[in-house]
Amino acid sequence: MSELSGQVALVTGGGRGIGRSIAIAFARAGADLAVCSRTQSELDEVAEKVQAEGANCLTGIVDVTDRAAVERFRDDLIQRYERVDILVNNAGGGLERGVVAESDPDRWRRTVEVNLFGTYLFSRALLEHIPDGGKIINVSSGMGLKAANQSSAYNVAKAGVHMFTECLANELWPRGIDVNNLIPGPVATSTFNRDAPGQRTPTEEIITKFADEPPPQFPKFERVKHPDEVGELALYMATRPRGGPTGQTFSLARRPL
Amino acid sequence: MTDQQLAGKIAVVTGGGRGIGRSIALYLAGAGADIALCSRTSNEIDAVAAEIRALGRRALALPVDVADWAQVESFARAVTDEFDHIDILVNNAGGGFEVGPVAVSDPAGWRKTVEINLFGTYHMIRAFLDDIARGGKIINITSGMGLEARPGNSSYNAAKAGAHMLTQCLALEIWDRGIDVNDIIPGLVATTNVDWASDRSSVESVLAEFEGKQPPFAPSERVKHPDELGDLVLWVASMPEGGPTGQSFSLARRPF
Repeated sequence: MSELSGQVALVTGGGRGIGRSIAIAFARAGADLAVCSRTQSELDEVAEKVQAEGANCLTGIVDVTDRAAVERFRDDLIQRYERVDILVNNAGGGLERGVVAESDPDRWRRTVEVNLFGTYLFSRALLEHIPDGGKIINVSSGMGLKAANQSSAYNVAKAGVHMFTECLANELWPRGIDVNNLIPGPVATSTFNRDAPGQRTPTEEIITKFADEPPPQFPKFERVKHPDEVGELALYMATRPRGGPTGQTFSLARRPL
Repeated sequence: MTDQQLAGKIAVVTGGGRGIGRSIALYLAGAGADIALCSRTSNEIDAVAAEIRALGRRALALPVDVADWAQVESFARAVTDEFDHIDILVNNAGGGFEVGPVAVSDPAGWRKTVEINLFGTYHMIRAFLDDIARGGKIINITSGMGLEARPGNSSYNAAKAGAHMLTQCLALEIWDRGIDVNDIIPGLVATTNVDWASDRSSVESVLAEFEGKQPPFAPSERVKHPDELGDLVLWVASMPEGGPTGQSFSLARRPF
């Protein structure tokens, strides 16, 4: 299968979890990749997998909230590939878990910065380098559509991402660039598992842990998915023909949102 | 995915005689499914049934007014007599029968719109639910107009909003049977519903009518070929058990 051959894709937060699965799915479909995250060892592992599919892989250490770092990675990418056809804003996470009344304002702000501002910064930096027919896929969340308990920073940040997608779709359709949200639903990642910083519970272990029932913040009919299922959906979205859906949301959730 | 990812499956498509429903029926049959079709008149579904048989699949075509519970019940009996059970139910029959402001609307046309789009969907679900196998799919063709109000379309807006909510309610009720329920939002498609006035216009003539012209609803929209919906429904119908449920999959090009 080489539906993406000749295309260049950038995946933020591509070192592990959902971003890693998306990068590998795209490479398997023939795309060349640019992948950034904050952990070099994880990027090296993904680059090896991508290259094993016969694709090129540019990696970079980037904090998506750092404008200078985002622009530096953009410059490297343009120097290497000249353009980017598919931008996947996947980097995100929840850093402040708790009620607003007891929340840490720095972690609350940081959550919004990573999820929302990071998505904006990458879109802003790359927009002029995305050709006609390009795609932007923003990994949002069911939590951007429905409030949960003790997750206000993540809820608010993802709600912002959801709306940003719609705003950008309205701005970019004349250029033939389609912009859509991807809602993964619960996926076995370290973010979902609320791993401590630096801790990396293996995917299979998380899936086994929640095989019978998802954690209490989700209804029992949700299913904790493998990140590769999200890679498949992202590939479907990335391979829509020009003039396909834009400003829409593609979801693997199992609860109405 | 192979070309025959629906081999051995049985699908029911309402409003399957033309437009989106016809494309859906042919795409599902092309992927290996046997098809039961209905619409209010026989001639169009008979022609589609012949096309399905030409693909080597079984087809059953019966005239049914989905707004009529007794007709839907007997259709369900005829389908299960023929096929034993079903795997995929596509509620596609719909349309707008009352266009204009509420203040001057004809209550009969307003009611008919709700009866076909919402009650028709409910009737089919109610009649077939016991006969849908584990791993089955219910796919409701709703509309962007079920999510956003537009002037002069209140009956269609209200009916499609109801169908959208019914999708979500049903998803919550039957997840433990392994049946997933989702919406499809077509956006603009070259059917006789896009071009309210010209009944029975061909797909090509509707596409030609909008070629190079600003589409209705929003400048970002595009009038699509019904086959693009066939392709999307096939994708949703082919999801593994435990895939998305209670969700909406849209080909629209305007945010809701």
